[in-house]
Amino acid sequence: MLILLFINLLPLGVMLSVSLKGEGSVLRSLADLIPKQITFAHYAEVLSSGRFARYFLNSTIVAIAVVAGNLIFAPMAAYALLRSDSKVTRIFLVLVIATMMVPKHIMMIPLFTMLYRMHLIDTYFALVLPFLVDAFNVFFVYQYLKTIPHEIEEAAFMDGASLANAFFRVVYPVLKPALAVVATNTFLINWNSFLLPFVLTSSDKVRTLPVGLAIFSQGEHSTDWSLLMAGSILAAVPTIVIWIRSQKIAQSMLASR
Amino acid sequence: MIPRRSLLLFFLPWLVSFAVFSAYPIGFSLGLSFADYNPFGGGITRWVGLENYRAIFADSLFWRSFTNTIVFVVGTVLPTAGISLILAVLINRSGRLLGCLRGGYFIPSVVSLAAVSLIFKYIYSKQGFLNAIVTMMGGTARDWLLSPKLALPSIIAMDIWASIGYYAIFYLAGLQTIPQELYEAARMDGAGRLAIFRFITLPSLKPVIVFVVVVNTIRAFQVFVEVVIMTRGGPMGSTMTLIYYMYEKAFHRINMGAASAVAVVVFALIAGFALLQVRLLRQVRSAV
Amino acid sequence: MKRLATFLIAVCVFSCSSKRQGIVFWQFQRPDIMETLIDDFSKSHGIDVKMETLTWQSGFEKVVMAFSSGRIPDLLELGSTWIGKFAAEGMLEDLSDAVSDIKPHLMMWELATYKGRIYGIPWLVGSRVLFYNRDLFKRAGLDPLHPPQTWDDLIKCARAIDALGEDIYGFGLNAGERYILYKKFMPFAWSAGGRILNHDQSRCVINSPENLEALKFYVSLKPFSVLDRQDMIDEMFKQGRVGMMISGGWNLKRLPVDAPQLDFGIALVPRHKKGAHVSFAGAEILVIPKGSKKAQALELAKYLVEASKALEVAKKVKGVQPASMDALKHAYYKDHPMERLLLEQCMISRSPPASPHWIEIEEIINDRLEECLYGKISPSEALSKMESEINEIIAP
Repeated sequence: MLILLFINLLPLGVMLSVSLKGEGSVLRSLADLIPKQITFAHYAEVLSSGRFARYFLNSTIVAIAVVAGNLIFAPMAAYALLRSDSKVTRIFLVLVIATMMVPKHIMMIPLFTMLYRMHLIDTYFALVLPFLVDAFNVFFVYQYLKTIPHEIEEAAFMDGASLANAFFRVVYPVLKPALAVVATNTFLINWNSFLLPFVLTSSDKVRTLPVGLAIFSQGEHSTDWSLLMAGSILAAVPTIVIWIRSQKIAQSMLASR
Repeated sequence: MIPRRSLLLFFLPWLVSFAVFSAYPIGFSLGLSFADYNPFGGGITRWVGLENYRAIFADSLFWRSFTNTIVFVVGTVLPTAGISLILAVLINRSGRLLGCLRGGYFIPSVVSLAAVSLIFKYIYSKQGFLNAIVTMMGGTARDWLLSPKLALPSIIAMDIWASIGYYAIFYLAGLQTIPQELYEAARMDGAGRLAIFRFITLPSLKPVIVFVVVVNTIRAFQVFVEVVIMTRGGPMGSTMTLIYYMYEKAFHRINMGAASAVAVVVFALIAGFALLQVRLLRQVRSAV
Repeated sequence: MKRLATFLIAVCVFSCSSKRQGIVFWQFQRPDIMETLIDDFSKSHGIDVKMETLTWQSGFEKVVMAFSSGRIPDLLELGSTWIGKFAAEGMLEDLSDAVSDIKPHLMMWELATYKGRIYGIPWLVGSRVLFYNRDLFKRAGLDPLHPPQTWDDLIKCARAIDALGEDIYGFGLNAGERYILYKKFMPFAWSAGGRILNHDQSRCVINSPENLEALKFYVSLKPFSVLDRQDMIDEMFKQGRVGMMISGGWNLKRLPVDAPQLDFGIALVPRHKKGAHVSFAGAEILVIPKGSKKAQALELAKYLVEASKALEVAKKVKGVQPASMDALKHAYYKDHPMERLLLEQCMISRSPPASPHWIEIEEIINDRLEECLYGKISPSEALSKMESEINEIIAP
């Protein structure tokens, strides 16, 4: 187990090492992995720059909005898919799965054109609205719901509860482990996404972290490795925090069951 | 029992989002695959029927990309699904102390794939750390990403590394729904670890396994970032994948019609594969 | 839902009412390098400029998408290989008559020219030169002050340095990536007197004795060379493992920072015994898309290409030099001999023909060249394949 973990973390060690290297330290061999002189200058460069603070804020706003949307809308759709078994909803399920299968890059041009016509380019809306209900999350919660006996909300309906009431009071709490995954996963994908946010933004006002990092660390032919790695590591911190939090929520929920 | 009409309302947010942000772009691309499209004015200039499809099917690089993509999917999906399942079971079993290890396994998936790919370019390079380790163990150093034979397997290995932690979290969520009583009852009956895994864990996890395999297949068919950053399809087209091929057609050759045709082919491929997998997994279940 | 709708309408109204008054400029350089220049321009010329920065990785995709949806900037920085395509599509303003005043001051106009008309203004230029490691030269018994001048010198030095040890290579040959390989081979072909297309660009003439001589020579470097991607060759040069490489000015930025102890020099690209020190040139061209505010955009373009302004950018970017030939007189080039050499190399460099099919032609040259370097096909096979495949595209 521990050996596996070591192998698993080695490439990250390389990243960390590169991000901490002082000037003039080229990686030549394995031994160079341990930096002779450690500098936090690259981290300072990212953290002290007002621009990066702004990118961080933008990424946070967008990610929170997208995660919130998915936490509410995806389980609703998944629940409806599972419980209303009709021809129409079976088509819906096929559509959900089909959406996941369409290569995203081909949709960029029509998406860009549409958002441009809506005057949403370079606004948070362009980065949030198209991603509010990810088919991937609908499908995951749908699969997860299958493992949960559907008697749990029957009692609520017998007591005359409305659908929204039964769903959010009774079903939603049981979904917590899945919701933790939805939150982590959505955050992760959104937080690291580069191409669409790059295309859909044009100013520092809404530009997100990966886009900012690319602009500042990558020249036409050369890369500022240290800056890029320091930035990437800093960018990974919030995701790790979110993941640990969501795991705790899921576990405490299990303990109380 | 369930108020059906209000259930339809539950679909609404997804339906609106789907109609606006998915259906329209998808339909648009489908249309383009039968047309000549000039992004620099005029838009769709001519309907060409199946001409775009004929053109890509006649291109040997397309078939190269096709084969590479299938190899990538087969090479990455099953190992990832298997290893991440074992990982999840091990992590789930380990006590509080080892609980923090989870973080360690998950971290590789947290770092952006672009940064990971850049680092692996380093690791795989001639004087990189992989060769350092290989020679330390008495092997011979290799040009991992420069050899037409090794480049694709190297990318596959990196992909597995970067995604096992990610898929393990889906399994972990699934494992947490299996009632402890089931395990206790089985242990009382004297079932061994393997038997428990086979007769309790596996069947209960089936929907999650389906999910992981299907989702990973979909993702693997669309492999792109690794290729752009590590090899750009080289050496000699040995890491050319369908989506990268499509991307080059769209944004390098500026041939949107051909790119859309590739997209339709990829979609059909994914759909076919996913269907096959669901069927297969269904049979596995009835065999268990 | 209602609230969302109001919100959307509010956003629309907001973005319509805040419609820009000045011009929009899209460029690829780091924004912190450009901002003061742009501010100064706005103040002195009374024209507001909204600058958008594109990334080198995916900037071009954004340009394509923006053009397809009609979101077009007033002034755009475009890599020279794209001029043919954009001009052929009729996307660019013809500037032939508007640039006569600055024409004598700038170089590489041919990169901005398509079918005899000028479609852009050269802003920044870049070329490749020979980088060589002086320490390795000394260790191999070569004169560190006399870098190779001709092909014969080059291979002699490569052989001597390569003999120094298992993990030391004489030369760096590019392989394993698209878009780059041909840039490294063509200087040899040009120096030998070879061409890709004939004079009126109607046929491919790459399968010539001159090109064959160049390709045979290029491949003969392989036993003394490391085959790798450009960034890895740059990296190995930094580590002191590669004796010589043909690379770009961007190394002048990273080398002193990453490897301050490395003693290296640069020189013009070695030449054919009867030819010149030709290298590969590229340029960043400022173009004005049709339907934009031409007069103001032209004012900004002419401002940016001035020697002192372009030099400001070049100093910070390091990989490029001003297209303005007046810059050479600037004190900066007296104190910076390496940058001076880069600029001089630009003046004797060539670049690919501005053909609307260039992207396809480039791919073909690249792919066959790679097969040849990997030993799958012979140099003569490679050239004859290139010629027939390229002719299929331009003269079917």
